[in-house]
Amino acid sequence: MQDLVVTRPRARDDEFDDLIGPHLEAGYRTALAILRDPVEAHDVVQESAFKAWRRMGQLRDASSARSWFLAIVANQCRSVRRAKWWSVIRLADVRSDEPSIETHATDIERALARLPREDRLALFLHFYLDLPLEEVGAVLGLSAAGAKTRVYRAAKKLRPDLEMNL
Amino acid sequence: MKDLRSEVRSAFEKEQAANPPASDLRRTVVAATPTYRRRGHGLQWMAVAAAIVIAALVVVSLMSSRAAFRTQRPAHPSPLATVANGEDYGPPPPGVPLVYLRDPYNAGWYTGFDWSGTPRGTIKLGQQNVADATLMQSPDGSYFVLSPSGKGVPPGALLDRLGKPVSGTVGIWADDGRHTCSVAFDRKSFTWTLVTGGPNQASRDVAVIARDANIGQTGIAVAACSFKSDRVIAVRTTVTWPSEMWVIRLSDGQVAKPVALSNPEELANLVASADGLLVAENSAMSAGKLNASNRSTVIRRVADGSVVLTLNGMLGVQGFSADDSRALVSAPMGGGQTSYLEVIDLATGKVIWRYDTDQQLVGFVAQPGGAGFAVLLSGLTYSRSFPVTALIVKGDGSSVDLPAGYLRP
Repeated sequence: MQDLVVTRPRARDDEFDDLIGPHLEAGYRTALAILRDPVEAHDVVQESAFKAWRRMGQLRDASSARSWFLAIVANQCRSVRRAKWWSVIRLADVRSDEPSIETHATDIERALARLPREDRLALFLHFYLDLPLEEVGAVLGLSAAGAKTRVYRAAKKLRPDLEMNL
Repeated sequence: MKDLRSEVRSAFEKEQAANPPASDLRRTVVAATPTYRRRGHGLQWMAVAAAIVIAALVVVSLMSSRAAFRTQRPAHPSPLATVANGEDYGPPPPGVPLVYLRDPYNAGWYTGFDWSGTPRGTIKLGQQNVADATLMQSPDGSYFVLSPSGKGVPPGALLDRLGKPVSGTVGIWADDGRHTCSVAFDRKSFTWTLVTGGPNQASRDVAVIARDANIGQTGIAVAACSFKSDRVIAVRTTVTWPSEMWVIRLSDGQVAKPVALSNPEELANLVASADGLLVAENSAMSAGKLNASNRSTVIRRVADGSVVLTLNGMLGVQGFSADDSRALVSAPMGGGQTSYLEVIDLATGKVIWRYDTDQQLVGFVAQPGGAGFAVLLSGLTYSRSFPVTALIVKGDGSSVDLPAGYLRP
């Protein structure tokens, strides 16, 4: 078994912990916001951490570690979603005395749920994680102006939906 | 914009609060990352060790919430047999219902066990790239849907009993094992259409279930497809909760019973029996949302909504036996995984089989026409390359261990 032991490069691991460690929770929350599944979110964070660890040399500016890591998380989530084929069936409270079909969003959660995922992600990054638009853009692969437009458009989609149902 | 920002933040906070990150997320992920790197160099045991540590932490963190269901932990013996390299049981016999597991040694090989636990056949998918594919057997194992994987595998390939490709339309297997059901979404007309198909059959549009003005994180899928009882249960999922259910007659496409669901956020999901006659409304507690206001899981008859059985909300129904006499239920371990398992007799409400485990449920198959289940369990950090614990639980509550070492198909 001795020959299998790999010497652990402590300095690199410590650097990884210093740079990425503080952003793992944000990574998990972002993955959860996209995937809606805590198990998958945890797996995504672990996989993203591994990718970040492997690509540490590409991170030239420590101040951009958060957006750099969240971009990896967002891409990993997209990969996970592409890999899914069967959708999970979720359902609930059967009220057989109510024959009508109620499909309209009546609150902010339902309205958010109907947004395309990339729009949701933009709102999540900017409104929930409080990322400045420059960082939102870095995560989404857009310029700051592009991120601003994305957030604005997402908000525009959300507001009419809410007003219509209020 | 300021108000909207506040509202959006509140909505996200509510979602996030239901599944907060583990308090030791940073420590465990950072610790596991270099180990994770070594997996590719043949040191999987290191990753497994880290996984065990993480699993133990998760188990301990939620142990108190599961206390209500902990009885004396039953001593469940480890499987006596272990899968051997190169075991080829020959072509699966026709007419014998089988449960398939993936051979860990031979890529593309799957071993079929009969419901007594005896290996009866091996299918070999040959040159197809099945490393990441999922093989979904029909109820009796006479046909398969091979989900897409890597290169060279067409999406949703249909295979016959011997693993040979056949034409047809893929989807959720119907209870007769000869048809499939699926929901197709047209992005131009925003319509959701119920489609049936199956091996060697052309697809058929049965009914338009709904037309949506727009879609976000919502979708409609088949929960049960029964050619025996001439009905399909379709469910709309919004985010992770259900919002609508339809009961659709297969023979003429009539939507017999559209149902709007109230307060669905407090429910985890709805599980339908294969014949579409029963539904279980699982409390959100059963998926780990311990502060859910809905404290009960309820099993109802679809026909009249009458209650068959009410369970503690920590228990969620995973599925029903083919004869609708038993329910396989679970309690959450953490992070949404299911762990503690029971089989309940629906006529008496009695628990006829109980399995308290540190593993998570990763799949099950109901015995065709019977009251049994084949149950697959794996570690909390499940990977397709990790072996599963496979059990056959019979209708009388006795169980049979399948050989250890096999993988999920």
